[in-house]
Parts: sequence; C-alpha cells; structure tokens
Amino acid sequence: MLKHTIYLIIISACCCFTNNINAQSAPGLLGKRITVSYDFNTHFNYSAPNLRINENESALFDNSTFVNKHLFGVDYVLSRTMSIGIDYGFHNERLNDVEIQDNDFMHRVRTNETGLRLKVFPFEKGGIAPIGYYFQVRALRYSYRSEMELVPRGSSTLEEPFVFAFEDGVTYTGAFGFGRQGILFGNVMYNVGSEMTLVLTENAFLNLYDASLDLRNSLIIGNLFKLKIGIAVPIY
Amino acid sequence: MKKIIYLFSFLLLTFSTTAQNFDIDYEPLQAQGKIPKEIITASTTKYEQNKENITRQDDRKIRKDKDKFYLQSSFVIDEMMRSGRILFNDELSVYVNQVADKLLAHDEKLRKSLNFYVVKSPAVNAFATDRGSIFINIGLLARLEDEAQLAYVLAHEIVHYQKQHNIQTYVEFAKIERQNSYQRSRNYERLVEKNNYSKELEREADDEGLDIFLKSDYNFESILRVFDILDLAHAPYTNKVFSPTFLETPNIKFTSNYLLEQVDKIEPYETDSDESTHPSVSERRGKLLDQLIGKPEGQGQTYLVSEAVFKKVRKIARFELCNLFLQRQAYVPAIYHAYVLLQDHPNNHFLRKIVSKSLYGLAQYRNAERYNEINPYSYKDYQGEIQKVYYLFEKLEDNDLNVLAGFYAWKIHQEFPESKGLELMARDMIEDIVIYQIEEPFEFFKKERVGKLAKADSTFARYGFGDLIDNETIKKWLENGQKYRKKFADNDEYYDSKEGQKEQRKKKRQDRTKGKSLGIEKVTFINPMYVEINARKETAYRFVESEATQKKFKEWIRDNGERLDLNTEILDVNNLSSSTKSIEEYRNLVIMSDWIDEYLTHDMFMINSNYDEAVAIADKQGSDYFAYAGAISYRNYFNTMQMYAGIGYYIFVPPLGVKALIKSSYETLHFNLVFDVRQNKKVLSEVNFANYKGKDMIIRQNLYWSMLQMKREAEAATEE
Repeated sequence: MLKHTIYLIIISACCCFTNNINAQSAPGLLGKRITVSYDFNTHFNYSAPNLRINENESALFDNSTFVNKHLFGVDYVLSRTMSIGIDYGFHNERLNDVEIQDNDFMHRVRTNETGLRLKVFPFEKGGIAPIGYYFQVRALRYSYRSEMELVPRGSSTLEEPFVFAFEDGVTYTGAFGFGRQGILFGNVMYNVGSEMTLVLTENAFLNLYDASLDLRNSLIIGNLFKLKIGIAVPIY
Repeated sequence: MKKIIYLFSFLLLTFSTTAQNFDIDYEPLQAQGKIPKEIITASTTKYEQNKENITRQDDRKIRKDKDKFYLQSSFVIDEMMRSGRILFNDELSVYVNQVADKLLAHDEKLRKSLNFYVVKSPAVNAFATDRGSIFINIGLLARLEDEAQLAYVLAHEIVHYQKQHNIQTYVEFAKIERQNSYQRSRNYERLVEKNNYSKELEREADDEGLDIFLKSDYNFESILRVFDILDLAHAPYTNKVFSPTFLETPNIKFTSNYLLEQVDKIEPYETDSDESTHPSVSERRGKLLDQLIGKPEGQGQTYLVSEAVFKKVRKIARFELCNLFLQRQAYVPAIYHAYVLLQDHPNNHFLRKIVSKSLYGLAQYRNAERYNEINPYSYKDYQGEIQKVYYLFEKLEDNDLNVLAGFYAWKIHQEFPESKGLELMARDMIEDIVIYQIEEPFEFFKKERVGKLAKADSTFARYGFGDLIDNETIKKWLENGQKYRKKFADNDEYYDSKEGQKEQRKKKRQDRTKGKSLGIEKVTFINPMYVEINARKETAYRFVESEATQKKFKEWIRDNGERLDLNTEILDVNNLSSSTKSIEEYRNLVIMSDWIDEYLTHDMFMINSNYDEAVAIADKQGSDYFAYAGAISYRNYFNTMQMYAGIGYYIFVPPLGVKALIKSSYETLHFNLVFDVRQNKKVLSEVNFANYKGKDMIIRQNLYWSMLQMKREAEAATEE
C-alpha cells in the first residue's frame, strides 16, 4: 500500500513538473542538462560496534566511527529552478558481534537503495539549476539484508564459512535534504549537503533480540542524518 | 603633421557654409576622426607605465600611496574617457588645441606632452590629469568672452599637470589621514588641513599659469573677468529677459498667477570657507590684479587663432548646452537656453524640438508625481531671468502643463512628420492628458472661449487645443487615452483585491522561474561591465582584476551566443581601434549609452529624447534589441547571519563552525537588461543576486540564462 502510494506521488510529481520538458528549454549548465554524479555520504556510527572478532576485517564492511555510503546518480534539469534524477546507492556495515549458544557470529548488513529525486533551487538564493543552493526530496526503494557468519571458537575451523541470512526487507520511503552545488573547476561541479531519510522496516520494534535492535539502530537512526560530498559532471 | 591637420581644420571651420547653419538647424556634437590611443589603451597598461615614475627615493609609505594613486587614477580617468562624454577631433576640441598651440608656442616639448579634450558637461569647469590630459567643459566654453580667457584657463590647468598636483594632493591627503587616524574628534581639522593644501596648489596654478600666459602673445586685459565668470557659474551665461509669450498661442495665454514680475539679482554665492578646496574668487581676482599692475598694456592680441572661430565655437557650445540639459532632465534650463538662442534664430529646428521635448519631459514627470526629482529646488533658489521660467512651470496647473506640452508636441510633430520619435511623443502626451488628467476630453475641451474671460478662469487647458480638437488623429489618441484610463483603473481595482494580488504574485513567481521567451535573432551588447570589490583590502575596488574579468565576460557573451545560435554583437570601447572605421562604432556606442542612461533614469514609459538616433542605429545593426549586462562581485568579512550559523555549527561540528566563522562573505549581483529601442521599452530585466562568490562559471551561467530567454521562441497559446 505504501509502495503504491509512493509510486502515485512520484508519477503525479512528474506530471506536474515535467510539462516543462517539451515547452521551454531550461538553461542547464550552459545548455547541458544531464549530469552524472557521485556522492559520498557519511554518518556517525550510532551502532558503535563492539567487535570481538576480526576487528581489522576488510574495509568492505565499515566498522569505524563513521559509516559511509556511495551514491551514483543521473540528473536532468527541468527548468531554471528544478532538476529531477535517479540514483543508486549502497553501503555495507558491520554491526556488533553476536554470541548465540556459545558461538560467535559476525553480524553484517548490506543495503542498497534506488531512488527518484527532485532538487529545487530556490530563486531567492540566486542559483540556476544545477548550480546553487537547493533542497531535495527523494522517493526511494530501500532494501537491506543482514547476515551472520559463524566464527569457530578455539582451534576448530570450518571448510567453508557458515553464513546465514538474519533479516532482510524492502521498504519504500522518502528522504529530505539540502545542499549546495557549485563549480569546482572547468565544468566539474561539487555537491555538499546533508540528508535525512526515514527508514521504517516491516518488523520494526517487534523483534527485540539485541541483534535486531542493533540492525534497527543502524537502519533507522543511522539514516536519520547524513552528510554528503560529491562531484558531478554535465554530459549533455 | 599635426599642424597641417589643424590648419586644414581651421580653414574648414572658417569657410565652411555647410557645417552648422544655425538659422536652420543644429547637429549635436559628435567625436570625429581617429579615436585617440589614450581612450582605447587598456587601463592596466597605463597603470603599469605610470608605476615606472615611482622611485625608490621616496619612503615606503609614499611609494605605496603613489602606487594606489596611479592604480585608481588610471582606471577612473579611463572610465570617464570611455563614457562617451569626451569629444575629440570635433570643431571645439580642434579649436582648443589650436589655442593651446599658440599658448605654448614657446615650449614645444611641453605642448607635445599634452592632449586637450572638450567634455560634454554643462558644469563651468576645466580640469587636468597627471598624465597630460586636459579637459574643458562645454559649460565653461559657452561663457568665455574671448580667446585670451580660454588661453588663461588652459594655462592654469597646464600648471596642475606640470607640477603633478593630483598625485601630490593624494599623497598629502594620505599623510594627513595617517597622522590623525586615531583622533576621530579631529575630523573637521583634517578636512580644513586638506582644503588648505588644495588651496595652496590652486594658488600655485594661478601664479605659474599667469607666467605661462604672459610668455605667450596673448593680451591679458580680459583675463580678470574669468573670475567673474567663475563667480557667477550658478546662473546662466546670459540674463536675457524671458518673455513667456513665446510659448503662448491664440488659445494658450498665461494669466498673472503664472508670471513672476520681479526676479532676484544675479550675485556671487562664493565666499572663502574652510570647507572650500579653492581660494575665494575675490582673493584670486585680487592677487591677479596685483600681479598685472605695472605690466604694459596694449601688448599681445586677444585672438591669435581667430575671433570668428572663437565666436562660432562659443555658439556651438551654447547650442550644445541645450542638448546637455535635455539629456540630464534639466528641462527648465533647457527651455530657457533654447529661448535665448531662438531670439536670434527663431526658425532653428533643433531649438524648437528642444522646447517641445522639454515640455514633454516636464509633463511626464509631473504626471508621475516625480516633478521634484527634476526640479528639487524652488524658483526662489535661483537668480536672474531664469527664475521666471522656474516660477512658470512650478505654478502651472497639471491640466495646463499637459495641454501646453500636448499642443507643442503635436505642432512639432506636424512640422517634422519624418521623425517617429516626435510622433510617439505627441501621441504619448495626448493620451496621457486623458489617462492622468481629463477623464472626458470630448466634453472638456472647447474650441474657443465663449463670452468674456471670467476672472477666475486662470487656466487655459479647456481652450488650449482650439480647432485641433476636430483633428481625426488627435481624436483617436484621446479615445485611446480613455480606453487606457479605464483599463488602468480596472487593473488597479483588480490588483488591489486579494485575488489580484495573488495573481500578481503567481505571475511574478512564474516569470522568475520560467523566464521569458523573446524570440530574438540578434542582440547588441553595449559596454558589458564587470566589477570586483573586496572590502577586506585597502583598495576595495579591484581595478586590475575587474578589467581582466571584463575581457572574459565579453568572450562568454560570444561563446553563449554561439551555443544558442543567437547573433550577438558587442559595442565596447575596449574593442575599438584607432582606425577611422572605428569612429562610427564609437558614435553609435555613445548614442546607445545615452539612450540606456536616459531610459533607466526615467524608469517609466517615456519616449527618449534621442529616439530617432537610436532607431537609426538599430536599422544599421539589423536589430532593435540592445542589451546592457554585467556583474558585480563583492567580498566582505563574514556577515552577522554567518556568524550566528558559525556559532551554531561549532557546537555540533566544530570544523564547520570554525570554517563558517573565518570564511568571508561573498555576494554576486548579475544583471542583464534588454531593450527594444523601436518600441522604446525594456523587454527583459534579469537581476540575480547570489550569496556566493562570483566565480566565472556562475556569472556565465546567469548570462547564459538571460541569453536563452532572448533566443527561445514564445510558447504556442495552446501549450500555455
């Protein structure tokens, strides 16, 4: 239901705002209206993982003070004050280690998100899309998968890692953010800003195991406030 | 070679019968021939050259002051020289140079180092720069009595150059400021000290100017009266009796309430005071008299070039004054000066147009309730016969002024039907009579008075047009006026309502976000500008950086034009060369700059006084559209909001907080105004203000947005 509601909102927004596409041409960046971007998002690691196993595990799974997310996007300038775009992001994070029945497990979560975003560059701030201060709304499909990997104790070893899926889910949600896009050099733009995403998982607050709580913290609280910095290049 | 050119010009001036025939018409002054290198050489180049004059003998602070002086003066003087107000190779400038030749016949080296120009300004003044350019205003030329007086004025200015008074003054003033910088209570004393220094330099210029003058073959007998001229600079050059009957017609009669019987005598204003930069005129006159006593009289000549040419040049200056007043919205002096010249040249087309255009201007500003802007002082603040003119227009009822202006606009339009500008003025004026004053013109206007003139009937508006009321064109314009009056009233009522205000806000928002679509194929940019100001530096105006970015700004215009397939041309003094082909471009630039200045000053719908000239240029350019674009980038220390944000940030994210607190505040203003000169209106007004640094790309982006709006076609009605 929520999914359908969000789809409806997105389509309505497109209909309202994209009547400009065929009518008057927007300036873009000296005529170039399509940009590709990469944003590096980071937020404080509220999970504060208490790692007992392999503390120095590969950086593929973040376990540091800040958790980082990578977001790739393509935007299209609709008008002087607006651009619309799609993006794809992912992050991998290590949560607190878990002990279940005298066994140690490494708890990890992988997320990815696909979103549709609308950036508005208020006239009063003097910018012209895609340059200037903006605020942004995103509708996204957020999926997560957490898994546990058994770590044998003592000297016993396993022929292959034993991994099982703990929790996974998909949620449709929204995000709000603001920032500023400017010119770094030549035609390359920079983007700095922040974003707040509301992630509600289907089983929120029902599963009270510590691992679940950990996951909730990571997904919900972790996404509440992120800082971002990125670059973008106009291509057409 | 110079002498041959001057001789040829002199012969042309004296014997030409086709140049200015004042009985018929007058052509306003324009620059001629090759553009002097001084005007087209980059200011940065001149600054670098001037810097070579700074020697290591001066102490560090003085070297720094001199550097700042050369920087500022190079750019400021060039700004004036490129403004279009400077004349060169025209009749007046040629004559002034010839007088200078005679004055400095004994010192060729000094003569070669000097350039003389005439300035299109009504102010009674002359001035010199340290790089050898000497300027004399038309306002002063119009008043001089003979050639010897002109020579004396030039001699005075030459001394300012010889002694490098400008830079001396700058350095001395900086020294005075440094000595007293911590003592705020001594502001007035500092001012007095500076003014005393200025006065000393003026005295030196008077004394040594006299030496130069006496070495020449000029006769000194008339030069004392130069100070009389300066003393009475606040009044017109003549006190010819003004008779308002020259504006009257059989149906337009000024009753006694419009006429001033007694005027104040013309007397000098000036007294020496601590707040004056020049010694008093009486002191200067007295000193000159002392210096001349004992000198043998009857030696030398009053005219070494030509008396006939001097009188012609002075007459041209007097005619030009009328034009200058009109351009500056000084409509009352324009009328008075035109009146004076009309006594000798009653059929002169130019003068009659000046009167009509000035009446139009007065009525327009009166209707817009802005009369005080163009006439801020009461008639009592003036002296002499011109008081009558100020009095007349101050007292004229709105109806009467409108009818007077409308009648004259119509009359002049009939006399010069080929002038579209005059036709538009007549139409605008007659429509405005109804829009602003007379709601039911067909009931109000009468062809003639019926019966005796009633005592209380002090206005003539009802009868002013006479039989013209039956003219079909006038009737049509009056009907238009009625339609517009109703439409404006309906609009006012609607836009005062909540619904109307909502619609206005919506439209404003739409205009800002969607922009306009003008469908322009070709546009000419006039003098694009870029200014960089950094309030954190001692010399806030960043001259060199501004000039460099200004060049880039022009490249961006061309680049954007190519991207958008918009035909762009740039008329800019910096693009010109000293080839003779450039002079036409320069003149076009001057006319269009004047047109834009006048339009922006009026800031309301009003036909510009040089409408016909501007449209002629539009025809030559192949486009009616002219743009004035630029950017101002301003950098300051952080602002208050930023400080609060910084403190807020600091609590949560210290690095961001520190950055916010130390980061300076940037503001950029970008503007692009596009005008349709044939319609006499502004079609695009983009003024964007951004709180970030005027980085190149941001300015280019704004420029691109403006140019996109010029190029793209309007939406079809169905799509809307």
